Amino acid sequence: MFDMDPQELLLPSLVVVTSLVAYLVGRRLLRLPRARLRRAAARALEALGLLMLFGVVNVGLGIAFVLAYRGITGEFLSFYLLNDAVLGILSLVQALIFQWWWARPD
Amino acid sequence: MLARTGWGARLIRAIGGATLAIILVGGFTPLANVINAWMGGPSQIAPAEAIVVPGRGGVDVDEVLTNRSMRRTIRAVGLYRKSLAPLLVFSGDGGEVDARVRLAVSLGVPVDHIVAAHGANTTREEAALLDQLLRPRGVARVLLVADPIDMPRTRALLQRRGFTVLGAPSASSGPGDPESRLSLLRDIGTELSAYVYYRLRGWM
Repeated sequence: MFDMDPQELLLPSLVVVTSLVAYLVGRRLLRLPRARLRRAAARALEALGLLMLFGVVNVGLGIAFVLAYRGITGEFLSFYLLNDAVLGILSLVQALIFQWWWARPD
Repeated sequence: MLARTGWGARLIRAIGGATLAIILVGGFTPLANVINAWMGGPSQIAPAEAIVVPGRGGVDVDEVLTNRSMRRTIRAVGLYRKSLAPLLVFSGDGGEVDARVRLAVSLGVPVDHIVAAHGANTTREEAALLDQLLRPRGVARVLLVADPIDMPRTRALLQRRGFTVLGAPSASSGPGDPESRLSLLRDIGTELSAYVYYRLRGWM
């Protein structure tokens, strides 16, 4: 049922290898405490969560705008304008700025 | 209320975890392809009175069809050349329809065997326009060429207009790389939202 092309293991393998290297650099060269890694992972999840929230709010607002535009002007505006990866990238920027603003200085 | 250590932060982290899971599962498993094939339904290639090709993606600024629109058009021309129907019907926005007609003609389809359905902006408007154009020609059984994810909504709208719809999904196996699978997953989400919207409005 799940025939995975072995070539598809390349991308996750790269990420695993570079993550291990980064861990070793952090621990051995930079002497970073292991506990902070856990906190960093939590922050990464916060960033992704905020990305999703900004994305949903942006799309929801976009839908409301399209409906209002159609209702007020009588002209057509496509919902598909909202199905654009650029909106995801901009939502990510919003999420990162908000997260750093929200973050307590350690 | 939304202190970084409170429930707000935990909720946002949970949403982040779910997002990461969706990215990993969507990118590195065939989930998107399975949903894609399921939405397309079985291929029902059989003789009909018209081959209907709804719009998808329009044209680029140089008036060349987008990938999806071109795939549909080529698939439809292939079905026409197998003599599965005497009529090829293109709908969509103006530029897309014109580009499809040009492509079909260049592939040997006679102009008088093509119906160019201009003027519809949405899938619902396309179904109404097709009803208006095809009924007088006595067309009741159509071979629908669309992307698998577009099949359920388009099929339901045409069936509601009284057409017998045979599905000929294009690109039914779906993409084979993580980025394209994630893109497909996003399109599936968009299409399912549209499906729910149409149901809520009572259009299907």
